[in-house]
Amino acid sequence: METNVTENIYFILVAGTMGMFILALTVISAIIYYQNRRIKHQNDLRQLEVEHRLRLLQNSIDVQEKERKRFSEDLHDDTGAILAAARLNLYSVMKNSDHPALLETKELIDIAISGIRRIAHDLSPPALARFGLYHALGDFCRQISVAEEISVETEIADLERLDLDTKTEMAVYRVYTELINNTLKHSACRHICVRIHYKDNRIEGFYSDDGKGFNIPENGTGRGLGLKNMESRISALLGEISFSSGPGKGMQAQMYIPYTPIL
Amino acid sequence: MKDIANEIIKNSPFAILLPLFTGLLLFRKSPVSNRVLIVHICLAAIVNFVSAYMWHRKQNNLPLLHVYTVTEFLFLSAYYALRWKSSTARTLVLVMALLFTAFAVYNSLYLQSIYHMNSYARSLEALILIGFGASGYYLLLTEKGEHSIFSRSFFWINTGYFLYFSVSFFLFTLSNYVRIIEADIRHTVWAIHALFMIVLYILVAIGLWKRT
Repeated sequence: METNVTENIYFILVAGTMGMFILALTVISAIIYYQNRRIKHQNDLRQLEVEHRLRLLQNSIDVQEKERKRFSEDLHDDTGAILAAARLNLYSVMKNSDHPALLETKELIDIAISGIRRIAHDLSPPALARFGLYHALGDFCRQISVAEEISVETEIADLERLDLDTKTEMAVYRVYTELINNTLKHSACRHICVRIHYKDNRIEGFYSDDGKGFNIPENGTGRGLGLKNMESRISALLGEISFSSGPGKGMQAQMYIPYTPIL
Repeated sequence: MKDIANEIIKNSPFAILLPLFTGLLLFRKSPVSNRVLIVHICLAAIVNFVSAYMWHRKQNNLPLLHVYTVTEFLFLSAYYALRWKSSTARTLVLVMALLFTAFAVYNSLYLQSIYHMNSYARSLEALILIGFGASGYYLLLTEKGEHSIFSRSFFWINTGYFLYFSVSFFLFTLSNYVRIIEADIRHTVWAIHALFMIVLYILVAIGLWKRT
């Protein structure tokens, strides 16, 4: 009789403990599984959101570039052609008359033609499409150096052999031209440094001027449109750009863009 | 087998040193709820070693268990109450703590002698703490966070107590009857309990180490 009771107690104890152990483990496993799935779902959603935002950003940049190109072509082909025709007509009138106003008009038309050409080139640089970033940016720096009497130190290495895609070339070109234009407008500098390298599957860029510098707002909202545009262009390529400056310290920018060359 | 069981029983009291040192080391940096737990572990360590000493001297150490049951429940209730943000849940936990204390004292005075296992109070404590543990998981699942559950201090501590009290529930309930079963089996049963106590203290130590 006593053995029976002992066996019963033993059985209840072992079975109950085992049962509770299995139950507890099941609950813990279910919690871990559910929580991991929830985090994965959250991460997937966040990733989708980031990708969506990047796509929107890239689309808006593409649209902007297309619009610039169209505007540049219209300006060059339509307005430029009209002005060229007007100049030809003016030449034929000038053969029969030596009125001083005609010469003045011819000079004005020439200024308008070169202005239109410059605007059209700025909007959609033909050198970039034809010869690539290496030459286009090099040319731009040389022009600035000659026109503005500023020494521009340029070091663009490894880009020729990379065969960069149009989006990356355009982004880097636009960022550097924006940086240089900002420098020319505000900094009163004497020296500009432009460096681009390709290293460890990424394009690394550096820019600096020795101008008067400025305080860069810490948060995004206080930043100007120019800085935001540069950040947007680089982040659309999954890269990063950072700026540093201060009164009397010039301005520096550093960026990187991940890029795997197509072999 | 008997030797392994013996070793586990003999060495299990030392497992408390792990959360004790972790807790004392990180006491200042720990949140209030974890500090409550660290104080409880300090008390548990004292009770643990005093009872081991008494057992060594062949003295009945069960009166200590009667006191320890109440303090353990109060500290763990305070720990869970601090984890809940809802005032209703906190009040409920505190009311349960008061009711349990009243029952445990009544049990020790009138129902089960202090020289016997307080199985009624101990099993009721286990049952309520299993409930607290389950509600702790609910809390973990409803809290918004981007971090993995394994990086959360509360997950490890809650899992430790949930597992320990789940496994020990039947042992606590039948503890006064365990005495009549065969010595070898009895020994194995208590060794299993000691093993889960070691697991509990390891999990609590991990939990105290985690910051989030």
